Amino acid sequence: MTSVRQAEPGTLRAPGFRWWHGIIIGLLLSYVPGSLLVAGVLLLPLVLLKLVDPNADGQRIMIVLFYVGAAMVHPLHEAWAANGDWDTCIAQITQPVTLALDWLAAGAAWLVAEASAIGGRLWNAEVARRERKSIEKRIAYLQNEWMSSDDDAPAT
Amino acid sequence: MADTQADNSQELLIAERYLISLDRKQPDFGGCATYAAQDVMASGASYLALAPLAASSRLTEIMFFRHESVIPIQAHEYNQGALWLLCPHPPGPSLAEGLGLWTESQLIDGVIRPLASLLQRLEAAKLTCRSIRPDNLFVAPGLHKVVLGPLGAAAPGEKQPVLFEPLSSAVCRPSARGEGTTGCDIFSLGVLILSLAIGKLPLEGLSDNDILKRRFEVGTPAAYMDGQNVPVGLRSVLTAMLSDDPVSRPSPRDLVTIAPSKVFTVRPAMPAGIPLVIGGNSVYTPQALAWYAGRHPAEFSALLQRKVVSNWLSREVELSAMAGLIEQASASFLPTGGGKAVDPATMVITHAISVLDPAAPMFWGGAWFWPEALPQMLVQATIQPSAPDDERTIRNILSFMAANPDAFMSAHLPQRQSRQISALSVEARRIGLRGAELVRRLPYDLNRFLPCLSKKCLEARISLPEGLLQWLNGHVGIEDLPDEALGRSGFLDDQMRSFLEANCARQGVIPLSQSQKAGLPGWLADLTLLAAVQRKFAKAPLSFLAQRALPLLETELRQWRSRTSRSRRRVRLGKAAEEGNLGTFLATVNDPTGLRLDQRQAQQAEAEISNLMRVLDEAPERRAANDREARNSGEFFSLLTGIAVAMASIWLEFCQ
Repeated sequence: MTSVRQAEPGTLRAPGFRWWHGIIIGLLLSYVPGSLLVAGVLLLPLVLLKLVDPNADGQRIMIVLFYVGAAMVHPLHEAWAANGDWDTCIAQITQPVTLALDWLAAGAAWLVAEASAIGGRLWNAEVARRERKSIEKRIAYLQNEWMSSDDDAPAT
Repeated sequence: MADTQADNSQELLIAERYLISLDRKQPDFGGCATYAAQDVMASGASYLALAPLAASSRLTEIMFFRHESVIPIQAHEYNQGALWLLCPHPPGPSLAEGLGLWTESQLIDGVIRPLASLLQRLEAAKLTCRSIRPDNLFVAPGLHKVVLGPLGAAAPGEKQPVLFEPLSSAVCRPSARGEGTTGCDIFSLGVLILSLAIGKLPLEGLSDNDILKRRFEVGTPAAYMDGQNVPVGLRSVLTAMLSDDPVSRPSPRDLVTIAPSKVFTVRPAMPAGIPLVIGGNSVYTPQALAWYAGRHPAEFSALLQRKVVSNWLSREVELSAMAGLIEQASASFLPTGGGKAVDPATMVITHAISVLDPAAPMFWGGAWFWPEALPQMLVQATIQPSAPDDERTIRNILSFMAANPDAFMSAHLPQRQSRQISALSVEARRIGLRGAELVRRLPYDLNRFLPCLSKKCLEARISLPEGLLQWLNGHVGIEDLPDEALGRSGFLDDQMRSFLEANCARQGVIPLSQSQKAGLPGWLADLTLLAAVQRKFAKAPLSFLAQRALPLLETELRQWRSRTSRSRRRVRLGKAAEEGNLGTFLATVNDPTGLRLDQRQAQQAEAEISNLMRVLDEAPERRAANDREARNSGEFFSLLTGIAVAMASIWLEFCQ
């Protein structure tokens, strides 16, 4: 329950939160509280990310969501298979492997995003360096060809 | 060239046929240096090789002229650009070695008739001989028949002694005598006949000036014949031939048909009763007055102004027409409004002298001369100046006369003089130059046999442009032409330049004008001229010349901005220099199309450089943009992998 309440203010801050979101969550809470608990617990990294990094935009949230979603597939499937049985759900969220996977997924999302950004930056820097080098080479060639005298290099 | 000179410098084989022995110099023949020569083809037939320094401008016609009384020019050949004339040996010794005493019939058959028929033929060909003098006449031993040395090998009349020249050319210096007329030849013939008849030269032992003085005093026939034992039958013909008035001399036709004791009538000159005294000399005839007027111009103009001359003419000489003309001439002493740059006093004396003696040569600027002889005078003054500023004086006269023919036309000169002046001015206009350049060009344009008068190559007697090119090719070494001289004055000196330009003009090549030359360095203008000459005349390569010009032209290559095209052209220059073709050599540098293309490309390159510089300057801004882009693409990539991971997880969960 606390996790749900904790999740709600997290979602409350998100823009575009509508009244029917509350109705859906209410319905889910009354119908499949176990599954919702699993989902809520597993979505905690997302909430934490939102709290820690207020600048994280929708895109970043979306990326983390996909990774976390990948980790959530198995526990939710288990919860679903147990028909939302509360004990099973508790067992799921207390399983350290699942939790670790979940947090690792969030971390992996962050890592992949940053790493690929850095990689892209490095790649761009390399491209720019090469371009610059070729431009400088071209300038040197043109200057040598068109703006030098022969005095320094007499004919053989 | 180097081979033959190194092997035997004393022998010269020209035209692969005539072997000239330079060490066997013969007495001058036809007025120029003569050497023994052999025809190696015709089993050593012996010839005389003449090396003319200033051949007559009409040598072409003269070379084809044949007459039994003149030694023919059998062949003419050029060797290294120098003209050689080959003549057979004369039949015997010249008359200068011994005149002998000839009888009247010997003279008529052996001298008068043959030479008169020669003069008749020459007259028909519009040529003159002007070389009847003892050392140019040869007699076969035992025969009494004279043969004249080859014509045209020397400038007309130049070698004639004063004794053998009529007054109309004797007063001039030798080079100023001009072509003369057949009348002049008749006079020379007369002197020859007289000398042969009396066995010695008349007035022997007198100086030229004394001879002239005596002839002006009493008239030439009297001066030469008085007191001499002249055969009676010849007295009349000699009086006519030696007459100072050319009109009175018999024509060649009269002499060809001469019979012994034929009588010729001469209008007697009427000396004045009372002489006119000028410069301390008593003058009896207008001709003599004209001559003394030239010697004492100041005194003569004073006499003119005081009307002494006109009064003397009308009262004592009874030539009232002449007196009237003189009166008119002296009237122009009064200052005239015209701003002509002619010294009126000099022009008045010129005019007065031409009135006094219509047959006299022109007197102007203190010299007696025939206008047509001016180029030859200039040549003579350049080769061998008799006075320090001789050349300058003649230059001034020639330049003024060629530029202002009107000044002389208005002076009513005798016809022969004004014809020669107008011929000169026509030639000057055809050449189209002015001033000193025109004066230098005129002799070359008027005489194609004139060798290049440059002091450097005068000895080589080069009268062909290709010969001069070859000579230059052999004389462009650093010792002949130091670098600073080359940079300052180019490859040629003024005379060579005029010589080549005249030859080019003859082939229809118009050389660069002075103003065009002003924009070029001297050596480049010279090279252009040399290239034109090479294209027109000489196919032989001029590699030494080109090699010498190579460093100079290489500096010209700086105009090209492209380094590669510079080096490519440098290689091409080197190759062209080795081939010795000046045309391609110059074209490598003087290539306006290529230069324009080069400049356009250089501008493009400059634009490109500034463009690239700008691109480099913008790099930081672009890096920021790139960073943003990298972040975006990183996120995009991680989103894609997230989707893939999620899909893989679902697949593992449900389908495995």
